[in-house]
Amino acid sequence: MDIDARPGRGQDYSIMHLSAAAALLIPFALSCDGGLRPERATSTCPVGICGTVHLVGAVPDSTDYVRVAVYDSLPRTLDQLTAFAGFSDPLPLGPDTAQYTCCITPLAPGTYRWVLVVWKKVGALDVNSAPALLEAAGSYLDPADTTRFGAVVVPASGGVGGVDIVADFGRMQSIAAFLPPPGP
Amino acid sequence: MTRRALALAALAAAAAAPAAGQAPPAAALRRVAGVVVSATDSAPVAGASVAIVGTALRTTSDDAGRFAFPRAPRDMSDLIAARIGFEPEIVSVPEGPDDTTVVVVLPPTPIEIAPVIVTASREEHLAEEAPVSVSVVTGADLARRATIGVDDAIALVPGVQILDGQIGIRGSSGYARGLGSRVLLLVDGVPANEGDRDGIDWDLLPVTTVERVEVMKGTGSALYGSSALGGVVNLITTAIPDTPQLRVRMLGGAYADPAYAAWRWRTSPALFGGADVSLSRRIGPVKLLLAGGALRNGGYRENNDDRRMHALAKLELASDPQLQATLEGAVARDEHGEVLTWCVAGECDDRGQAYQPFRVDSTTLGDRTRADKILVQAVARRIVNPALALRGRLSWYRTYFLDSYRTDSQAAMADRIGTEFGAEWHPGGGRVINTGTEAGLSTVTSDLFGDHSQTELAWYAEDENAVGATGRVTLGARVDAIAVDGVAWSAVASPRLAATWEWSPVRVRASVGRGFRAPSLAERFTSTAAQGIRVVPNPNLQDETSWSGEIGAAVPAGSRVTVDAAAFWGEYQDLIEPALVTGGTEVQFTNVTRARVRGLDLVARAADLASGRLAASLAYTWLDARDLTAGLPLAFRPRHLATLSADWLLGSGPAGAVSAGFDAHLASRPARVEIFESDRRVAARTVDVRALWRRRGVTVVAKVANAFNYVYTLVPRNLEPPRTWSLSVTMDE
Repeated sequence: MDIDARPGRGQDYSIMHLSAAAALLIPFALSCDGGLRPERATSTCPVGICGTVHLVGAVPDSTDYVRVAVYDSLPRTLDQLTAFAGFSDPLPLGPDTAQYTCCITPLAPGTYRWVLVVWKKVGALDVNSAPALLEAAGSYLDPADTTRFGAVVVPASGGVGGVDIVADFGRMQSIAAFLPPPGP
Repeated sequence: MTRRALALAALAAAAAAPAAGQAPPAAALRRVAGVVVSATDSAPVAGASVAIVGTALRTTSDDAGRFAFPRAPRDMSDLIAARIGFEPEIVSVPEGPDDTTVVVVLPPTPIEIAPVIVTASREEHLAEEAPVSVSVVTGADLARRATIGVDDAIALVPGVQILDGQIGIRGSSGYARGLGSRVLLLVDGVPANEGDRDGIDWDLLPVTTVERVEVMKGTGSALYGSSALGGVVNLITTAIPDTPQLRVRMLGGAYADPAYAAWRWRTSPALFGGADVSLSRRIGPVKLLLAGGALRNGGYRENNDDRRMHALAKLELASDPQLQATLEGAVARDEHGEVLTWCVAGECDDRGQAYQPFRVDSTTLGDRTRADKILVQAVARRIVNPALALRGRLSWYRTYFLDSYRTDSQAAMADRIGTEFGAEWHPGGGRVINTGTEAGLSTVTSDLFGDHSQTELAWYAEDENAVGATGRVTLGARVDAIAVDGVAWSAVASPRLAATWEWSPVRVRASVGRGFRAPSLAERFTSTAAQGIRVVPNPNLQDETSWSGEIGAAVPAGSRVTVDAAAFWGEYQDLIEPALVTGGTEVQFTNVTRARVRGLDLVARAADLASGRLAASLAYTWLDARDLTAGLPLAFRPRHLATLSADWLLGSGPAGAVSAGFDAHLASRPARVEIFESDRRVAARTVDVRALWRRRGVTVVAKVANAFNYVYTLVPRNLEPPRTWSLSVTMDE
C-alpha cells in the first residue's frame, strides 16, 4: 500500500489508484443486477397450501382474527381443537376485501383432512375456551363430493394450489360441533 | 444480596473519598498554561484535549489554541494534547516557577483517527490504549456523507448493521421492530434508550450538532449495565466555540423511479427537503448553542411520507477551569405513514405481480405514527484536586408515540429518569480508579403495555493499572439491581478484565466480560392484537446474559496505512425472542435461545496516497451467529459485511477544493429470517457516490445513494431506498 510520493510522480499514481479503486468497484457494480425483480403472480403454489378464500357476509364486531387453518385429521377431543397442523396469516378484513389468495407455509408433506376458515372471537384462547371462541366459517370441500370435506395431499417438494374456500360469516358453527358425539 | 452489595459500594466510596479528596498544600501547586499549534503552519488548534498525565486534570484548548491549569501539581512531569487529525503529543514540563508556559506542537496525521475517546472507560482516554474496539464516526465523515440521519452514517461502521432503525453490533441483535435494543445509546455519555421499549431514537439530535459518534463493540455492561449487552453508541455533541458561530445546512433531493416499470406507482417524483440552523456564542460565563430544523420527506413508498422537527439547546459553564458543567435539552417530533409490509398479490392494485414492493396493503393506507421525544440532562465534572475528579448527572427522557391505524389506535408515554454520582481517582503510578453509582426509574402509561415501572440501582468500579512500560490492565465490575413495579428485586454482576500492551509498533488489546440485558417493559407487558395476531404479556421474563471477549491488534504499516484486526466471541443465554404459544395462535416474548456469535473484524485505512490526493478504507466483518437451542443460524445476521470507501481530492485553488468519493457496501444474504421465511432474499449491495466542493465556510455535497438502483430488503417485505439524489449545502460563519 505504501507508494512513492516523490514530486512529479503523483499524477501517475493518482491514475493508478483511480484505476485500482475502479477495479474494486467493478464487482459491486456487476453484482448490482442481482437484486429483487418483479414476479408474475401465479395460481400455482410453490410450497404448502394455497387457494382463494371468498368472504361472504358481515364480519362480526367481536372478531379477533380470521385465518385458514389445517388439521391432519378431524379433531376427536377437546384437546385436539387447538392442535392445528398449520395456519395462514390473518386474513385482511377490510370492507373492500371480498376475496384474496393465501398460503399456508411451512407445512410438512402429508395428507390434511380438514382445511377450514376459522373465525376467532376476542378472548384468551386455551383448550377450555376454544369451543366458545373458535368457529368454522367455511371448509375446503371435496370437488367430487361437495357434501364432504376435501383432503389435501402436500408432496415432499412443491405445494398444492386451488384449495378454494367460501367463508360465510352468517353460517358459522363452533368447531366443537365437529367433534364426534361422546360415546356411550 | 443486592442491598448488601450496594451498601458495600457506598462504604467503599465513603472510605476512599476523604483520603483522595484531601487538597494538597498551595505550595505544591502551580499554574501551567500554554497554546496548542499545528506543526504544519503554527496555526492555533482549537478543541484539542489537553491533560496532565497521571492526574484527573483535563481541559480543552480555546479558539486561539490556549489552555490553562491554574492548580497543576508542582511535581508534574508530562502533559498530553490530542485532537482529531493530529498525532497525540506528550510534552515534558520540568519543575519550574509558579507560572509555566508551554507550547504544544501537534504534527498532523494523514489518517483522520480520533486520538481520544470517552466511551471505553467513561472518561477521556487515549484511543490507542482502549482495551476494547471502538470505532469513531467523525464530524468530517458526517459532513462528507451528508446523511439525513446520523444512523445512515453509523450503518457504515465496521461490524454494524442497522435494520429499520434497530442496531446490531457484531451480530448481537437481529430484528424485533426496535424492541429491546441490545445496544445502549448515550447522548454525551448519558443513557438515552426509551423507557418503555428500550429502543433507540436516532432522530433525537440534529445531525449538524453531532461532533462525533463513538461505537464501542462488545459488551459494555461492566460500565453501563443493561442494554449495553452488544455495545454502546455515544453521540457526542459539538463543543461550543468561544466566538459566535452560525451554521446552516440545507438538504434536498429526490428518489428515483422503481427499477422496473411493473412496480411504478406514482406519476410525480418523490421529493424530500429540509434545513437545520444552529447558532452558538459565549455570553459572560456561559456558552450557548441553539439548534433547530425540520425535514419533510415524500417517501419512496406508498404511505411512507415523513415529517420531522427537532431542536436542541446546550449550555456550557465556561468560567471555572475546575468545573465543567453542561445543561442540554432536546425535543423531536416524527410523524410518518406506517409501512409494516409491502403489498402482495390481491392486497392492492398488484397489476398481476406477486408483490408490489413500493405499495402497501390498500387496507392499511392512512395508517400513521407520531413519535415525540424530550430529553433534558445536566452533567457536571468537578476537579477536587489533581488526583481526584467527581462527576454527576441528572437526566430525564420522555417518549410518546401514537399509532393511528385504520383498525385501532395505540399510544404509550414513557419517562426515564436517571442520576449518577462518580469519581475518577489517580492515586499515582499510572493507576486510575473509576467508580460510581447510578439510579434510574422508568415508567410507562400505555394501552399497549399497561401502567408499569422499573427501578434500577447500580454500582460500578474499574481499576486500571500500568504494567511494565507499555501495558495497562483493567479489572472492573458492575452490580445492577432491578425491580419491576417496585417488587421482585433481582441483581446481576457484570465483571470485566481487559488489557492492552504494545509490542512496538503493534498495539494489542484483549478483554473478556459478562453482559446482561433486562427485559424492557414492553417485552414484559405488551398486550395487543395486530393484524389478527394476539401478543400476550410475560411478566416472568428473565434477563439475557452473555460472556464475551475479543483480542485485537492495531498495526501501523508505514505512516499512511493502518490495519486493525480483532477476533471476537460471545456466548449468550436466555435471549428474548417472540415465540408462538397457545397452540400457535398467540405470540409471547420468552427466554428461548442460547446462542454463540463469533467473528473477525478487519479494517485497513490509508491516506495521503497519490501525492496526498487519495484516502481509502476497507472494512470487513465475518460473522458466525448460531442459535444453539434450535441448531440454526441466528436470524437476520449476515455472514459478511464489507465497506470500501475512497475520497479523491480532484483539485484545489482560489475557487475552492473539489473532491469525489464513494462508499460501496455489502451485507450478505442472511441465512435465516424469522418472518416470511419463504420469500426470496438477496444480499444488500449498494454504492453511494458523492462530489464535494468546499470554499471558506461553504460545503456543497452532491450525492447519489444506491447509485445502481439495486432492489433489496434488510427486513422482509420492507424495501430499502432506491437510487436517491441529494444536494446539501452547509454554511459556517
